[in-house]
Amino acid sequence: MTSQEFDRNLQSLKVIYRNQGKTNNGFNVVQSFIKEHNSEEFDHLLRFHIPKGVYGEELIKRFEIDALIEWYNLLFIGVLAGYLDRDLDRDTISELQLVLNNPSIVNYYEERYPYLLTSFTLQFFSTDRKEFKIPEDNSAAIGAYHIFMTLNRILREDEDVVRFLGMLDYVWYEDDSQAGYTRLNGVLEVLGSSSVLKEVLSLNEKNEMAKGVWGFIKFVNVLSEFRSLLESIGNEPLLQSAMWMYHGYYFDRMNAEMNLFFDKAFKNLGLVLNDESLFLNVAEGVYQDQELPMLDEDDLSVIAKKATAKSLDDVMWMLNPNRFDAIKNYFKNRIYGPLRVIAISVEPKIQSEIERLSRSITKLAEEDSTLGVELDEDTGQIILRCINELHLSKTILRINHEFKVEINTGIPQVAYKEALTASVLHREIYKKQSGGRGKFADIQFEIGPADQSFLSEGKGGFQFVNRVVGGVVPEDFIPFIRKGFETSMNYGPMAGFPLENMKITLFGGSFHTVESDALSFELCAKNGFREAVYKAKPIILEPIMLIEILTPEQFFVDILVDLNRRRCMLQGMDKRNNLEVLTAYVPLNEMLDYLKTLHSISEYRASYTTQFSHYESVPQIIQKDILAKLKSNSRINN
Amino acid sequence: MVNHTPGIPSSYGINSQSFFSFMEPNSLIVFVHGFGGSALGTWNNFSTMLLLDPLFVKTDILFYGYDTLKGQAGDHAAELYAFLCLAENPLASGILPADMGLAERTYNRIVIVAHSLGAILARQVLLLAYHSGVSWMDKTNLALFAPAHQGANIISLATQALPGIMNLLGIFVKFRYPILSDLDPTTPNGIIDQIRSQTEHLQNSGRGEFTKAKLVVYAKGDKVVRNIQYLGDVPAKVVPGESHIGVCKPNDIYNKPFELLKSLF
Repeated sequence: MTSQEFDRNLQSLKVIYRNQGKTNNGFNVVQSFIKEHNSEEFDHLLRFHIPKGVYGEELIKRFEIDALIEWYNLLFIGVLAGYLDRDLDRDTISELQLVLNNPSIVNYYEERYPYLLTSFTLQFFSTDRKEFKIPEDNSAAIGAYHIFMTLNRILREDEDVVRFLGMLDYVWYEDDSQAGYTRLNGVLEVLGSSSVLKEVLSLNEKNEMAKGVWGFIKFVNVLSEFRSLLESIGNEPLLQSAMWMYHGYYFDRMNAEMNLFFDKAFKNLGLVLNDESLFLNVAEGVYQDQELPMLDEDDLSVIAKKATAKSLDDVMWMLNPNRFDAIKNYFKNRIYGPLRVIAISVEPKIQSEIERLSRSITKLAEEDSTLGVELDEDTGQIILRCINELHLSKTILRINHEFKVEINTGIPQVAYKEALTASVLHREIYKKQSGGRGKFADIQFEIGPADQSFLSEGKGGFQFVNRVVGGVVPEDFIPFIRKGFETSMNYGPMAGFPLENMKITLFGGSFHTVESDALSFELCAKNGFREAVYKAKPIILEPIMLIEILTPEQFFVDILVDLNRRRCMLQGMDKRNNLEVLTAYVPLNEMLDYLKTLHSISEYRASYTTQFSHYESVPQIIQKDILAKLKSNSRINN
Repeated sequence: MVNHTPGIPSSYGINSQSFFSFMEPNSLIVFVHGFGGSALGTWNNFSTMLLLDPLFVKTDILFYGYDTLKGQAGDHAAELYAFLCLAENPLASGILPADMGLAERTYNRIVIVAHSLGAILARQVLLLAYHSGVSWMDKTNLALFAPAHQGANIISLATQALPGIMNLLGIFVKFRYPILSDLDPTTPNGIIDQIRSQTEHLQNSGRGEFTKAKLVVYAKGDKVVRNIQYLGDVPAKVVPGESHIGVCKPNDIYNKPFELLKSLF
């Protein structure tokens, strides 16, 4: 799709969903609170309202803000469907960030009424999206997006469904006939008794209770349609799971409030549907005084049973929260990926235990979102990536003791990076003549560290500036030059660690009308990187951990002396509950055996916590050690 | 490849949706569902297939919905007629929001695609158009899937058309469906008889070309409606292995309905 088409799609969506009605009102509400700096009142408006209700104007405003939040989620899903560009226009992104970063709104969707998709939407549009591949020309995805929007609209417009979803969302409704308020538990009571259910469904004028019950039944019908929709896009797991999560708040609420109840509710629905008078009622209504046609009640009973069984199956399918983990995993890796600074390879001591080990690790990763798991395709070993050395030890311990799988582990590997410290100019000419048509590409560029201003924009670590003028390098080849440099960043010049950031300014070059092609320019960029990068004074960076140690006073000095040997930078000393508290920055590489040492120094009475803080350049002398160690482990190609 | 607006909701009917071409359109397709159906649900993948097929880049597509559990066929036909009169100039009538920045349409051709009960509505709409002398009547074609214009086995219809749990309960709670009486071929002087006699009269007098359906499709062995030639309609196509409800629902495997509709363009 062209950018013009993307823009057209976005503008159309805005006309329908953003610029009018609840969504527009929602934005006006948010804007007025922000303008008036009235955060306290705004926070109060978006409070968790139990045990009191929210009524009138306040309730309307909350619904309008809900519509606004859903609009942003709809945009995100539009990108996943390939209907919208990953880079929406600046105004839309700014508005989205303004709203979804507002502290009161963050509390609203993260703490009070958890709606995880919104966090993902904000993250997606606030961080680097260039890696994200938009499904191209995927008619199934775009078609599904259209149907998805329609289904949402039906949900929003059906009075009964709105009542039921409101009850799920802790809203209760005044009900004159009941002289009180109708809440979700009232609906559950009705569904729990076939005779009451029959009575409520037979009411000519629906009261709030009946609306809630009808809302449940209609919602179940919509869930069946959702299931078909999600099944139709099984090859787009991110889109599939995002669509699921769009309604995930209600699914979670249903799971929490109703899950144990479904068997009974559907059993009662089945009983009601199998009532003998069912067909007769229809026939009487239609034929009135005429002779009734032949009725086949057995057929009807079969149809009714099938309908309830199918509905129950659809509900259970839709409410299975593990079914759509793709998007959670995607963001889990985006969030925790950069924090996993230590890795270790594991394999079972007995090869036949490999399946048990896999199962154990899968279970661990499900429970622990900070744990990263990869398969080394070269060695077949499983690589565990952890956020610190304690996390790593704990994980290994759990595999051994909790899952009872004996394992061999490799040497823990610290996630080093590399960085450039100088900018240099370079010209690279790629020329090949091996019979037939030759290859030719010529580029002139500057290579160096990325600008701070660029890095602060959160667009990732690769800054590419195209200053080529006069068509000396045709526009069509530029993306391939860019790609050549970008992929080269994965293997730094010092020891093959990824480069943290890099800026390439392309300012010149030349081409040959016959012999130049995209591949030649990509290879030229890769060769140019290899030649020039050494001149840009590369260094190795290491992860620095912030540690906090709690120790009885008598061990304090020994601990401090030991820390100094570990290249620590002391940050502070304090007292807490008669214990000394010590905080310091320590390179991760120096922490690998720290738990043992600390236990030994303190006779098991000191403890510590640690978390990743930042990357810092490795001192020259240590850098030599690292390189030597790596060389002996064949990490570096000679 | 996306040449249409997203589905624009309409205040006419129930859950009606319009997909307008970004290009200057020359055709309009209007879908009308049957008993127990819904604006889009009845047609399954039709919307996606149409929106993504290059043949329909210059075609506006409207899915009209109505509440089959309330009102008579005549009521719904009158409302559909009023809607079509507005849909002919969607920008002026507000069906196409002005903010979309699209120009007013001039259709050379309008195709009403109707299923089951929808066929009765569609035929009645054309007769209303004829009596009112509206301009779009002459450029309108009918494409009918499992039309119930000769009546229907209403018990089978009620059970086949209402597969979901909600609609089964709908039967139970004694909704009276006047519309089902309209579909009963034994109802004397009902809407079916009226439509047929007027259509026959127009066709016999040489003024009824617009009433002749250009596409008629039945599921082989349909238990709800009978496949009997209807006056001057084109001979029906018969699709084996499909039901009354499934015959108009194209999917990845069964795209016959879509291919048949394409053959009209």
